[in-house]
Amino acid sequence: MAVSVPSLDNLYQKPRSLWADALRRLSRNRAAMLGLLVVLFYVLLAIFAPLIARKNPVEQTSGNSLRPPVWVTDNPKRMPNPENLFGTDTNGRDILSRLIYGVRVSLIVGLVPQLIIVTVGITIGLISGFAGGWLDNLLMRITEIVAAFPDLLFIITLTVAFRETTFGKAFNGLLLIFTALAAVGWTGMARLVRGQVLSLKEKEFIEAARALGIPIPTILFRHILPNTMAPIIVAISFSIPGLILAEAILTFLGVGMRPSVDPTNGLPTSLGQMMSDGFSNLSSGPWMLLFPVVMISTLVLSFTFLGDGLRDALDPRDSG
Amino acid sequence: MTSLPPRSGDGANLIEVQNLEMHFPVTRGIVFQRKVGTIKAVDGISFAIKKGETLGLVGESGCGKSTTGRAILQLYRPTAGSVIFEGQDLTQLKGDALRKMRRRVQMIFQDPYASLNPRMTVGDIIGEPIRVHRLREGRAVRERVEELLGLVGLNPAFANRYPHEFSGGQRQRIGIARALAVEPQFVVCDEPVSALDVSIQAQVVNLLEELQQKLGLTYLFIAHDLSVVKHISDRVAVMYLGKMVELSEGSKLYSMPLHPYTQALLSAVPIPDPKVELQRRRIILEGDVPSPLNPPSGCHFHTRCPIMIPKCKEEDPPFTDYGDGHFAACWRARESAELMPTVARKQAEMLAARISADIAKVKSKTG
Ligand SMILES: Nc1ncnc2c1ncn2[C@@H]1O[C@H](COP(=O)(O)OP(=O)(O)OP(=O)(O)O)[C@@H](O)[C@H]1O
Ligand SMILES: [Mg+2]
Repeated sequence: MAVSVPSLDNLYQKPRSLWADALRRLSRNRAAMLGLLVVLFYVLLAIFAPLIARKNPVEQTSGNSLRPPVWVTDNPKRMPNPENLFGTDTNGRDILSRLIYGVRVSLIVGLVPQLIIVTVGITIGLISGFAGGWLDNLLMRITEIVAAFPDLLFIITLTVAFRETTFGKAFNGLLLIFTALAAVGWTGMARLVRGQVLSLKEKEFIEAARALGIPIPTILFRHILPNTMAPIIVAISFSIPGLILAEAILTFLGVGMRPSVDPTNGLPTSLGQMMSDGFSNLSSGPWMLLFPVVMISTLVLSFTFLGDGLRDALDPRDSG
Repeated sequence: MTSLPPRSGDGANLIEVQNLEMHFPVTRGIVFQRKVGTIKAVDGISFAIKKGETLGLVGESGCGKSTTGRAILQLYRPTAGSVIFEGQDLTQLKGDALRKMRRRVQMIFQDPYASLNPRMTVGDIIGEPIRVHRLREGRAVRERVEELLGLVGLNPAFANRYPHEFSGGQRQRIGIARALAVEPQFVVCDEPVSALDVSIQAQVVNLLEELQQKLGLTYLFIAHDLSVVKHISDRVAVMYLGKMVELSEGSKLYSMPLHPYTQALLSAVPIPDPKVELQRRRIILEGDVPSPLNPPSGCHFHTRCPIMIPKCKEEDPPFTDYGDGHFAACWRARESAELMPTVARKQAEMLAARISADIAKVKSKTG
């Protein structure tokens, strides 16, 4: 019998997994690559903040307050200090250094609750979708109830209620924010995963695995889960900016992160806090608001570009 | 209304299906589900398949062919009936015993695109069941995978590739290799060529035939029209709305169909002869296929039957042997041959002659 070969050069090509294909498509998407670059830049800033920042972000220097950025030299009464590239705030703290640490907090807020959301969401979605029946029914009713909470109101209530406890004070209040954001954030992920599992469950390759006597845990983790990853990744990249903005809003409202004056603290301030400070000093030092706003917008926008690119690259409809 | 399973006198049966029923409940409501009806996808069918035999199973879309195959393999747990495979009732098996049993009975799926996990390499797809059932260990798994790829006519070097790099026909071969990986005795082929290009269909059917001879496999070969099963099947069964209406040796079913539904199906088989094609008359069935939710009373076919009598509305005809293992479920089976329109009868005879000539040709080539 003839051995069927698609074509000879095909035989010598490297095998292409769907992931490799997606990566190739992603790398051709300019906006997504720009987004990725900016995100990577911010991630590096966050990781190496102590090495990059030339000043301590909470160090106050008297007589050095409200200095404009170095290139703003039109006010002879207030000349910039060449040591403070982006100027200083009302307490004479270096804005650039604070921004670098602020990005650190924003990224952590984007990622840590995300980890909890993904873990809880995948677990509930997998169980619900695969088990079906009364268990699915129960889990989905719980999910609906949680999803029906007014998010921000719930988070504010929670943070206000626990603010003065040790738990509320841990990591300058960040732990409380993580918990609050994750507590209401997992429902979308759970529904997404459940929907994916429901449609995958009907696919013939899952039926084939069952017919072959593959054990159920193997079917779940080797056959179903890897096939839900693409939409999960896209959902994550869209949900990170939401979390970052949520923290900024909470802190702006005064129920989020607590300011720290401890010079050894690794998480001294957040972009939300800097925006809040800047807002109250808008007329005397507009740069105090401008820089954190630019920073947070580029961060959010980059994640959105990346998410868009990932969605297009991972779309199984044009895999080929 | 139980009828005995058609047993053939000679040769041992590998698999015996008795009064198999697969009813799906139809429910309404979100929190409290009320049962509002039952889809009788398979409604009490009985048949047996001998070792090494191919039983063709044909019928229109939605008549319950796939469901029959899945219920036999316990992919759906049948609501009633038994499936005796080598003396064991598969419907009674559970848990690990069932999982171990699974490697003896396999399935080849209709859709070559949906039936392979897109995130796994071909080597993993075929190798996984070998590892799970501990048929080989370590490096030997890889060797076995390559051997299987060769067996289905694929280059063994393709083991590290992904399904989307292959054409439909090649994927179907991968699906066949995966089913064979667990060394089954019985394989349900669920329309294995329906989704393929016509030019490739014959190749895959030939491969299945070759493998059957090499490995001594027994097939239940599902198709939605008679022309696809004519080459490969020893016996052919016809289904209509969850019931088996006729079962017989292939040549006899084509030359002397007893059930009016089989006659109608046969009249629709294209004959590759322009002269015959010109005078062909199809028996056009009136009306649509009734829904398997609330099927008609009595004989399910009576709403569309051209030779219906009042009795058909009231009583369900038993699946009876009309001689030499030619089973039919029709009150008028004895007279139906005479009642069949002459043109259609001539056509059936010609088709039967053609098929036996074809088979003789193929046999003389291979033998
Ligand atoms: N899991 C299920 N739940 C409810 N109804 C089902 C289920 N599976 C099949 N059915 C119904 O059972 C009937 C028979 O379906 P089945 O897939 O066996 O038909 P088929 O003969 O294989 O058709 P086709 O030629 O289209 O593959 C259909 O009416 C279908 O809607
Ligand atoms: Mg089918």
